Amino acid sequence: MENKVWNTAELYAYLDGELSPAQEEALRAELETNQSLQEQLAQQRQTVELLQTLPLRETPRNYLLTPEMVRVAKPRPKSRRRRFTLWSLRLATTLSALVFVVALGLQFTPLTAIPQPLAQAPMMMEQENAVEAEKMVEVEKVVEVAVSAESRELPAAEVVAEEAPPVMDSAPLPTVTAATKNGVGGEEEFETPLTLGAEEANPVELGLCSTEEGDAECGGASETVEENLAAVPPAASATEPTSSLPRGEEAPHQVTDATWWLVGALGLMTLMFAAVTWLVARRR
Amino acid sequence: MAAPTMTSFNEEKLVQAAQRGQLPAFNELLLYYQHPVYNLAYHIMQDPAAADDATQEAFISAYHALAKFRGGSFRAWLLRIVRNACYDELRRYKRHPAISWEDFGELDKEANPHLRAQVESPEESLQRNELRELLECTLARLPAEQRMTLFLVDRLGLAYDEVGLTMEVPLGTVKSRLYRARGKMREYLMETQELLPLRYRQKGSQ
Repeated sequence: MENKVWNTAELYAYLDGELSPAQEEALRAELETNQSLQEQLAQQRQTVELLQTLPLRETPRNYLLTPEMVRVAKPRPKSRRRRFTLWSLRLATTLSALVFVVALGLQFTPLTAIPQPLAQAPMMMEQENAVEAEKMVEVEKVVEVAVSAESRELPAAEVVAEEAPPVMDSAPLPTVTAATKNGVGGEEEFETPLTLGAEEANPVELGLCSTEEGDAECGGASETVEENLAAVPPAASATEPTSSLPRGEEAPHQVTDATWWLVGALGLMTLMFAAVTWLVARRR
Repeated sequence: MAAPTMTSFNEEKLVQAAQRGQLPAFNELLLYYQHPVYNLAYHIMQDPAAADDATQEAFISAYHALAKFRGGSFRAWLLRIVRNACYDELRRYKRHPAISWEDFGELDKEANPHLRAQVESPEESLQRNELRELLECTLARLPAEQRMTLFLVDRLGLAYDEVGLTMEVPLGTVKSRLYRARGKMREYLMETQELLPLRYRQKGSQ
């Protein structure tokens, strides 16, 4: 029978008592005759014995458990109030998010989808009122300048001018023209037609030259008025149609800015609600 | 409470009593095993303070998990909990590194001298500590799994199947790890054999 070759792992297993009884018996028989195997086993035993002498560390303390240490923390019952708060916050967050999304969607909807007159009517009215007021102020200034020029020499005319009807509340867009009907002496009068078109005249009698004073004076006065009227900005001129004002371009920008602010505020509110909800849920 | 001696120690009865919720019974088991448990934790963690934390955590976990123990080797079951607790601690230490007690000096040597079972002379104590330091340093050079296997078999005297249960590996893996660990230890110890006690000095390589 040929001798078995024992490897190191088997020799260690023999030292640890982990070989099967049959293997152990066979190794013992081999060791009786095999000198080199005996030496190898002795060296391995020395290593194992050395490792077995490894002094253990002292425990720094006793680890005895107390009832407090092993008590399982019971989960706190959730109060109704807290639950209500959390659900309210969740609802508020959801609603806020919905409103935000709807508002954002409306922002991106093209303006052509909304009927133009409906969309622009209020803005146009505001714009018209503003322009009208501006023009009236200009006309008043021009008239005042003309009147003051004349009034130094014609005190009577001042009275007549004061009696003249107010120029306001006539037409939405005043068209101002000041001209002498009769430029060559005689009876002269100023016309300030405040109309949408040139054909609709609304003459205002100032009666500045209704006296027997010279042609030169009246002519000079009318020239002054004409000069002053010429200084009125083109937007207020009678020839320019109302619809040509650049309202259509400016109005949507104003609306967009305002609504963007609103959408931003909604978004911010949604985020705030979400953050508070998360914090409350986390605390539980 | 004194540590129970082997003669008065009936593990099976104590385990059953502890499973019924009797804390004193579990504390008796704890006193019997706290020394090997702490040492295993130390060899895994390589730090006395971390081993201390892991040991305490392991015993608390073991108490809560006792209902799941279905018989077999209680020691292997307990040491597996220690191993897992150590790995948890290692993960925690990795996330939140802390200063080791060893950084403040050799405090652990005098940490709790009254717990020592027997009184040593100063010379014996010195030799013992020197040998322990040498072997611990050599062991620390091994990979963690080999170091643990070697410690469980050679120092705590666990059987191969118990080591397999503790480390959750097959028997063949235990054998191969042990064989490699012992071979490396022999090699490392040959480098410093003049520091070993005379009877352990190697005469040649294997």
